[in-house]
Amino acid sequence: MSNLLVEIGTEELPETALHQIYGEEKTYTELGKRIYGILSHEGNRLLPRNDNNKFDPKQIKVEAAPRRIAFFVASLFERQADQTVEFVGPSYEKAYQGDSPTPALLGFLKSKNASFSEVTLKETPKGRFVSIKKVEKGKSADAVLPLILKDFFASLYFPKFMRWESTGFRFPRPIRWMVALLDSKVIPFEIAGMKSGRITFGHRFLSPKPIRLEKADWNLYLKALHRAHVNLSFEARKKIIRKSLEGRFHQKHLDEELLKTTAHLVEEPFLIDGTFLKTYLDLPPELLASCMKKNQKIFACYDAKGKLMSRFVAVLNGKRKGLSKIRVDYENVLESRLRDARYFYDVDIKEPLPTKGGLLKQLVYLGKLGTMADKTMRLEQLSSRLCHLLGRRDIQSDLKRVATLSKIDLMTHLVYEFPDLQGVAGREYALEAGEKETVARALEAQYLPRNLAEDYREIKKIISPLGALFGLMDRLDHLVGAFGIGLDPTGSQDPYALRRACGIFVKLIRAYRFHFSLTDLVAASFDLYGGKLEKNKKELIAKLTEFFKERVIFEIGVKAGTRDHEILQSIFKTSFDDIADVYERHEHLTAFYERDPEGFIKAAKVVERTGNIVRAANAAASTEVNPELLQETLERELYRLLQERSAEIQEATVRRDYEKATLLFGKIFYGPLNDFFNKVMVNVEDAQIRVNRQALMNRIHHLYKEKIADLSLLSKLE
Amino acid sequence: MPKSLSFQELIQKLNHYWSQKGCLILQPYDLEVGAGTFSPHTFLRALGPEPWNAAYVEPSRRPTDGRYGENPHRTQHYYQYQVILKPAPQNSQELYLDSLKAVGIDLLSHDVRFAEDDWESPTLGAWGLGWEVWLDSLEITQFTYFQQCGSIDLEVVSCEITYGLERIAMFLQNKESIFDIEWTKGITYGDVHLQGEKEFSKFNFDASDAELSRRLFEDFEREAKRLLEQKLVLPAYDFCLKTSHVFNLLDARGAVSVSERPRYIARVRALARACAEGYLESRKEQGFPLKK
Repeated sequence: MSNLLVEIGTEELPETALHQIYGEEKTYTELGKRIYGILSHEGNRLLPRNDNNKFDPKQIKVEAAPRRIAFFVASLFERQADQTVEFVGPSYEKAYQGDSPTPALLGFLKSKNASFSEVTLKETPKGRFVSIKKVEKGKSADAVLPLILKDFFASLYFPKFMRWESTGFRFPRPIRWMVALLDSKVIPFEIAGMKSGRITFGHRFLSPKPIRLEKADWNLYLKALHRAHVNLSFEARKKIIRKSLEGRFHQKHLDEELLKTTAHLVEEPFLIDGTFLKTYLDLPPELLASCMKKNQKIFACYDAKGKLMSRFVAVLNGKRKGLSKIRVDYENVLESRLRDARYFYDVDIKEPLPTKGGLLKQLVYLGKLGTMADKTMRLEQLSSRLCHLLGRRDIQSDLKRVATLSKIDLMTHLVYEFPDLQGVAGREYALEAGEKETVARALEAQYLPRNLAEDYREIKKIISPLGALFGLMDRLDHLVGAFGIGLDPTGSQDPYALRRACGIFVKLIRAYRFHFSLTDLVAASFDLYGGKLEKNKKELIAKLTEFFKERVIFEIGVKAGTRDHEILQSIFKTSFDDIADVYERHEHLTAFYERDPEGFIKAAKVVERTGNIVRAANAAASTEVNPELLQETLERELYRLLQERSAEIQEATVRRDYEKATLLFGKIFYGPLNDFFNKVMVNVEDAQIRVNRQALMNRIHHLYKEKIADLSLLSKLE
Repeated sequence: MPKSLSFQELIQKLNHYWSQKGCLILQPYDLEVGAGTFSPHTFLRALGPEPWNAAYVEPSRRPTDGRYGENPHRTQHYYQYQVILKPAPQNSQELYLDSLKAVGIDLLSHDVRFAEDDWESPTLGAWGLGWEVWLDSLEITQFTYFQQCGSIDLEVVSCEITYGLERIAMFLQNKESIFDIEWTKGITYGDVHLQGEKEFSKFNFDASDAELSRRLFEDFEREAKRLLEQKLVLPAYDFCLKTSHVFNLLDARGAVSVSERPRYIARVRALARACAEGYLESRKEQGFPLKK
């Protein structure tokens, strides 16, 4: 067994390229999977297969730092297995004339470089054919690897490529050296005019001399780099930075994204502290943190109470001489940024936020959908519609005020310079202009949560009800507008972030349980576009409803094929218009199923069996039961239960105590219905009696299904 | 500690360094430009197969960056030191780092970093991939491998190195304001340029005649097109540069609406592209004389 070590030495790679190499998975990388796929691929099989033919992360190491991408593969076969390949030639009739071979056969043999003695006959459904078998000798690893490696690097995907030399090879940054060792032997290959070898380099400044690698040994390689001030493990670099930061300020505020960035940008992290003038602390803390992060990639520091301090931490690329001068330099650069930020802030507040509303006419919103001024007007009007639907007249004027001010900060200098401060700028400038605090906070909250994966239970802590309601309207307007002019997402393409907008919409509802009719709100939003949309209203509502359903499934996180998924589908079947109610029914039913599966199944079976009768009766099933026509004791009993106990179930349903309603429904009807089906025929000759019994079943069926869920969709109820 | 370089010595050192590395040392172009890339020494020479290694100072104007001489870091007129290496050599980064040493920056005592920053000029239809170079987090240079110029994919990739001369001088001289840079003994950058900053900021933001600029834009554009028809590529490119500058003036004056902006930029880009195509064609007719 052999080991393979490959390193591509580059000029400083961008973070996006490094991110691509590591991918999303923590245990192994995308690159690792690709290598495994190639080396274990049938024709090239150099990697032993494990039992289940799966990728074995232990066999492959992949790491990357700003100036290199390296991988190591352990336990490679020294050669490929031999393969027997069969070539079928002309049919027997065409191959021989009597006993002598025809030109067709000779031609076939010549093309396969085979002799007459190798010919065998093969019986096929189409008749007899001549065939030959050839053993293809497996090639040695060092013979196949040059091509494999060359192809592999040429086929890597990165978000952005460049060309830099005459062969036109594409890679994120120029390649400056390559190492490829199979045990102690160089695997020669060439890309972008570079030849592979065994020489690598350490830290650009702290260890500039070439390093000769004797053999493909991952640990020795890591050690050699470590001595040369390169820490090749991304996780290790992150850990060093995290630990040093923890010693300096509170973990709660550690910016994970910045941590990742800084770990990607250095070969050997070394942290230094710095300070800035306290007078800047009266600027919004998000602005200060953003100044630090955006340009210099330095960390803001917070005290135990979460207040921003006039300090920062910078991650250097290795320890240097002259640290005190470096620190002063970092401080000076920050000072000039903060001075700029102060300048923009001061210019912005010279004129109060609300009076700048006119500028929104200059900002195009989306394609044909007009400007941000148009959008603002729609949102103002939609706010009154939403408050009406919610029965919340009390907040109508606040919500309208949020709508009026919502987009103006996009026209400020600060947001122009720091786009990620949208919302925060709005909040600050609204407060400066004397707006209500609740209104100002909602301006910020419209962009929250930043992360679609945010737990819905955390939403109330970061977003006020007013902010959440505005967030709903804003996103709905976006969805209706975009779908209305045919910008629906397709496949993985979603340039207008509609899935995200909708995902957050349903998350806000899940957090706050706002009950309203989605159809009514979508219709209102549609009308407010006043003819700008190309789609028909009814179609649009249908399409959006399906889109919302998908997002609810995603938000709850149910997987297709599970009981949970069936329950959700059965709820959708009943109704989807009030999304908060969908969540509540789902929570109740899954909780009940968890606690008392038998009780749950009883209810489900009542819905299913009554449903079967209703379906068989086609659309004709009436709900009018004539008590006079009830002959059998068992059906009279069912009717009595319906008369006497429905109210209890309905009352629980109205209170949205769906668990109780389900429990009662199963408990009350399951036994008597069972007896009824055992003893009484529904589909009897007498039409009057038949229709009456169908109506009885229909009443029971609808008592549950109409408001809660069509549990007949559940599988395997036995 | 040795005496740090004056502004003019810094330029001399860079000229000397790049001259020794085999570059042509050229002079600034005599028209208003926004950056060294706009000079025909870069924009046109980057096209086609001919090698080209050159270095020059480029006085650059960015009207919107003016601050009436009140901001110590922002000015509407400043100097770039531009190096273009075509084809990009294997050791372009090392050549650059050695130039920093040549002007007295000790690379072991500072945190020098190549931080991803892809460069793009929508008006020129030019873009490239590369970095901004950080010196203790101060951005001192834009380092770019050109990929496209005049909306044309480049046949031979150039490496473009653009030094921010004032930033480097402030750093070397330990000055907090651009205006305090020692140009030469007894004369500061402010002595040379402060009055200009005040007057041009007023001109750019408040006094320039937007109507005149609009007219000029139309006239310059028309002239560029007319000259292109006569295959006078270099004069046409001059007029393309002039449209770009009057557009910048209009922009600073706040006379360009959001929806007009991309249209103006697209018009300049179309001229730049036509000039680039015309230039390539004329070099081809001459058999690409610098190609060896």
